[in-house]
Amino acid sequence: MAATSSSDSVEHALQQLLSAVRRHLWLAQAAAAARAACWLGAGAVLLALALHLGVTPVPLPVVPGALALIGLGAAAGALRQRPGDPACALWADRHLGGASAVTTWLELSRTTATVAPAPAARQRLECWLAARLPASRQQLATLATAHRLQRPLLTMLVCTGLVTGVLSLRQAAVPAPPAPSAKSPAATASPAPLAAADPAAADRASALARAARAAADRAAAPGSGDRAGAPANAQAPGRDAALARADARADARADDSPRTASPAQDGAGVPAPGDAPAGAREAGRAGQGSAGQGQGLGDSRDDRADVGVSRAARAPSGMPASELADRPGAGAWQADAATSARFAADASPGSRATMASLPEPAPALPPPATDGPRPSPTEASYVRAWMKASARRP
Amino acid sequence: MDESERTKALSAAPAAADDYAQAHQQLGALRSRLGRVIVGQDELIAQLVTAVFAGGHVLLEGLPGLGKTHLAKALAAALGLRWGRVQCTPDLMPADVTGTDIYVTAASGASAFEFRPGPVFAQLVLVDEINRATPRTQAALLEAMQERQVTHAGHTHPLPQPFCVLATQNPIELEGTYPLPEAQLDRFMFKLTVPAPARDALRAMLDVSLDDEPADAVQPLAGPADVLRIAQLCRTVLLGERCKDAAVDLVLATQPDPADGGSAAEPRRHIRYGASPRALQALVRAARVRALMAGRVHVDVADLDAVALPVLRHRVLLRLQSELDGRDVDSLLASIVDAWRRRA
Repeated sequence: MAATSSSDSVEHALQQLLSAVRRHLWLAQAAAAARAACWLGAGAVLLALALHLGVTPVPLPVVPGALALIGLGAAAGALRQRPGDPACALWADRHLGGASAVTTWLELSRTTATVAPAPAARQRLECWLAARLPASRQQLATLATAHRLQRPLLTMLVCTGLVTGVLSLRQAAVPAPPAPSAKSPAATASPAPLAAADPAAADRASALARAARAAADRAAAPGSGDRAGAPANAQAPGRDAALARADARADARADDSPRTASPAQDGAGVPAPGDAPAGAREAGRAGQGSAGQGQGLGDSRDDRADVGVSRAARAPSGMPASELADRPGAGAWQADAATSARFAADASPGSRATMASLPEPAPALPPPATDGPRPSPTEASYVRAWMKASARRP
Repeated sequence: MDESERTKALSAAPAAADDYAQAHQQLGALRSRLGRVIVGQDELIAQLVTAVFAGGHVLLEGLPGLGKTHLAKALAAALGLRWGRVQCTPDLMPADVTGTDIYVTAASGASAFEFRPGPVFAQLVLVDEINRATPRTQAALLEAMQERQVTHAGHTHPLPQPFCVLATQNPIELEGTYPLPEAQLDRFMFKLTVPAPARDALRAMLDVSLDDEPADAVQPLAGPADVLRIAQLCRTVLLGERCKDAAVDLVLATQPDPADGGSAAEPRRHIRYGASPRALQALVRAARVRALMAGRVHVDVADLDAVALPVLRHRVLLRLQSELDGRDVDSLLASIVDAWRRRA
């Protein structure tokens, strides 16, 4: 009976020791998980910053979300790895002077031993453990648990603050993105998407651009400087730099204008009243004159041939102007039109202040030597006739 | 009741809790008494006592004059064992060790061949300079050491219990010697090297053994029955799974690298043959005795650590290139044991 009570007391004391060891190990695991989460969180926010600066804007709520996710994962991992009794006993043997007695006793108590031990040996083992346990408990109590959380925590906090600041500054500097339903000038700046979305609208825009160029040409001609009015460039202040090309600006303006006219009217180059610029209205009047002769602006091959484009750099004459506008680099060919519009603005003293705020147009460059197909004799004769006709034009 | 029956009865009795404490005290007293005879060799004495109570045989290696024979005599006297001595020479015959038949004429006139046991029929046999005996004579010891019996002329004669062979050999003067074959080396549980005593030990030795032979004056602390009883107690010392795994890991750590690669710092790269399964058994048996010496009834990794080197040093063979490079088994095993100890 005395041996049984002694055995029970030893078992109770050992279970207490194992529980204390388990708490110690769990705390150590939690500290390790927290350290890992801090380092991982710092890495995650730095990665978010790199993504934000280099690839795509990262919303600010992503940072706390990622940190919360990492923290939850680390906590779940630490909670899941619950140290079992064998692990606690092994730790006690190794670090608390157990000398393999705790693991041996645990194996005996769990009856995992293949050979039944002598009762005297077991009794002696319990006596040895009972004598050793107070020292082990005291040793465990004096063990300093170094969590070493300061450095990873500080690193994570600094990184998080830095990244939050950068993300906040960047988001304040960049305007809010427009609603998907509203058409912005930037969204219509590229003719290719416009043509893909609505080919008729693209054609109308190209026609407007051609009309603007024709008006600019006429304004640049001697004696007609005062008629030119405000050029197309003056109607697009504050637009994107990509809109500096006259063709693209005209496209954007045509897309911004409310569509009240029929396609036939569009083809004649008559824009809606109110928004239409003066140059475009002038071109519309000229187009009406041509329409009276049975040929609308943009329909004839003369009109399709870009008026302001250097002839040497012209594309094959059989290509319509609407296709030319869609081709890459078409804006570069139209530097002459922009230059002429600048000269027309210089001729108008009232619009100099407005023109001064415009970006410097690209200088006209000589056309590059192309190895394109030479025009056929028919095309060459047509070009010569067109040149004569344009020379006779007032 | 003769001695053998008495020892059998003692070893068959169930152990009591006090028996472990008594055995611990007896082992401590034995070490203390031997330490007064052989001064400054405490660890050597502890290993020797360990081997005796673990039921193993010991190969003592050391320079002449370090007290090997003296220690064997003192041990036999302290344990009250009947001891015999064989001085090996190249002309020593097997019958000189195991015994032979002699023609005896009785008083009644009847005459017959009678087996006359050799010196191996003692409880503690000192085989001095064993490497000077021929391989044939050395082989005669094989059966005695392993089977604890001698077969002569078709008759098997059991050896007395307990039975322990203490063989000595000299690491120098190797001319005319016959190095022990590996099979016989493996029969020895321990190979102990007798170190040169330190200054304090030498100074104390003058006080102990200048004019007297203290080994002759050693009074027995126990008898053969007590030796068997303690040996039986050692077999009941608990061995946990952790220590079993650690012992296996240690033996496996001495196996040669199968890939024949690894870095130059890898100790296994220099090993040609590793420890045998018999080494594993010897390791655990000896560790049990060490645990009982420490007053525990369970084996710890520290016990395995304490007996690792004596158990393994004569069972590990180095590669020829490593030996030519000046590496020795002890330093190699020390690094292996250190690495194993950190993992265990």
